[in-house]
Amino acid sequence: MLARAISMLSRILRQGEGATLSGKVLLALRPRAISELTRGRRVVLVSGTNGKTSTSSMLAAMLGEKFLVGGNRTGANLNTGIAASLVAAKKSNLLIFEVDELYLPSIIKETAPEIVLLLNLSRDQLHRTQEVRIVARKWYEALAAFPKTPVIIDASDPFLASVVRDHGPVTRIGFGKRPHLDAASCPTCGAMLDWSGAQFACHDCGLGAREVDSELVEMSAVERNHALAASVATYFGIDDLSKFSPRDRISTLLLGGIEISLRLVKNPSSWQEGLRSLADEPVILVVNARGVDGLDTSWLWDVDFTPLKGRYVVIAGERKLDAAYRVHIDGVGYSLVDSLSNAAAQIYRDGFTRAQALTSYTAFIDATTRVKGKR
Amino acid sequence: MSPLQIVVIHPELLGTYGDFGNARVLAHRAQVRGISAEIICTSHDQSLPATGDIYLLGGGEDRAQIASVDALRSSVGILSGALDRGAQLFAVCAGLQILGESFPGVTGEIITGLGMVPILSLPGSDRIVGEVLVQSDLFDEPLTGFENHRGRTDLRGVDPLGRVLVGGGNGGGAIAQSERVDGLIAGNILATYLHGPALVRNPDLADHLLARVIGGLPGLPEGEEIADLLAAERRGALGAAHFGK
Repeated sequence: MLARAISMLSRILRQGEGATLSGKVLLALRPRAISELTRGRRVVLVSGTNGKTSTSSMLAAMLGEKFLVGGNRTGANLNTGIAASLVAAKKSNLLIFEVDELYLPSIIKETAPEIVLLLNLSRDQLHRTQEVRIVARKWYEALAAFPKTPVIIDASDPFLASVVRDHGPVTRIGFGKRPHLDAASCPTCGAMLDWSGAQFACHDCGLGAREVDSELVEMSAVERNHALAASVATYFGIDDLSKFSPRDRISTLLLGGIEISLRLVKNPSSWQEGLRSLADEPVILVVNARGVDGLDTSWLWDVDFTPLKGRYVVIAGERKLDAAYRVHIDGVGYSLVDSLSNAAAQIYRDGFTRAQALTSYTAFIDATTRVKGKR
Repeated sequence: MSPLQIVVIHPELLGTYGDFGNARVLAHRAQVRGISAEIICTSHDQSLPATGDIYLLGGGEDRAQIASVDALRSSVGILSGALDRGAQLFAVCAGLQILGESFPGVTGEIITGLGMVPILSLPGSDRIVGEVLVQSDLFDEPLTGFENHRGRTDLRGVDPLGRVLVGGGNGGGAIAQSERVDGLIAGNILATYLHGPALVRNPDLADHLLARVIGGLPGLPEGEEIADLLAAERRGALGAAHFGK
């Protein structure tokens, strides 16, 4: 009876905030709902600072070959979003959840996952997560309670290497040496990491000395995540992955007469990745600083904006002035507009038919849900 | 004339919150005025250059802060010597704590600081996170910034940078808002809990540091208004919070 009422509520509220709200209701009525609804079921957890949604979606497609897959696919990755998705996933025989970094420890405990995929860990929303090292320590402690659970990691990330340092069943996939903003010192012991060799190495505690199970180099973030998802699919016995290709979380939007490809960027590493892969089209930056975006905009100064030099750049968003001063210092010319719509209008007037937008989280959600509402 | 030297101390350790922005803004605001400037990054395994004009210490996580202070112990003489001949030191958050008598370590243990200013930092009961508005006697308009720290700092005989109108600053928690102060000014040392790129959001503070080294600053050329627009917009947003409008 209760489940049916919640299910109805969930159907009514399916869109946008609905998933989170119905999850809130469910958890208020049944605080142990996640644990109860996942008991005895096969669960895969995907977490990391960047790429959770796109990786879970790639993984769901791969595992869909063999399983009836359920789980949260819309980026609603707190306990409420996970609870809501469980109501809709009654018949699924495999559950894939993308999990917010801070919620991962409790979700591991509640779902007793069959396997955990960890993508990366770097500075993000520091007003909320405080320090990357604190998050890493909580992950370490959470995994310690499940010593037999297989974990797959990007072993080129020193923080993930540290998280699984004492864990038994770990598949380490290396992606070559990659600089990490937060890992000048060892995430485990605090000694200075040596980055001069082929990989990072800690000469005090030995972090980085473990052999990787496979090594892939020269990959973009989405290609890395695709490879990590493929490793999970292989674990579940899906051998032919040739028809699956890396897919990013990019939405296309028709606005003001032009086509805009929207890319969600939310912290220094995802911004840098977004700036690395720009097409030769006008660029719109939309920067907000509401809760989930990170209240603090100082991260802008951890990003190199020189790839924007010489391009047509329009800046919008609630914190457009922060972004404007940042790109100005990197020698990038820009114009300021009040909204994404006005950016599109200006770009259209200037004779372009396409543009690409890099948007912070709330701006991405605003833009993509507006389109859906318009049907 | 040799270029203005802006020395960023241990950017690989003390750079958690976009701290490098301070060096970029100082160099930029000198260069557009026709004053050549260079940024020198000194990592923890290098000795500090003695010839700097402005030294910058940023914010960092606990362990990085301890690694930094340990690496700096042997350079206190170089830094003090530079300050004695007129160089400026601008320190933010963890950088501020490092300069004092001691500060809390990873598990609250006491770490000896560089002892360059008579201040003592202790662990607070909670973390102070959010926007800050500070009125300093140095400027007409208040300073703005973002803070994110657990440590509390007692000033023992040095002046604060200013009074905290919104936020925690050196204190917070049990201290009444009207009693809260932020940062410190001691000779050629200026420090604050306004973390990360504090000089980005406060161009007056950036120019204050430049003027203390260079003397009178020429006006800014056209095209640099964006800095003041940003500063005014932040003051407006925080002023609204402060004055309850």
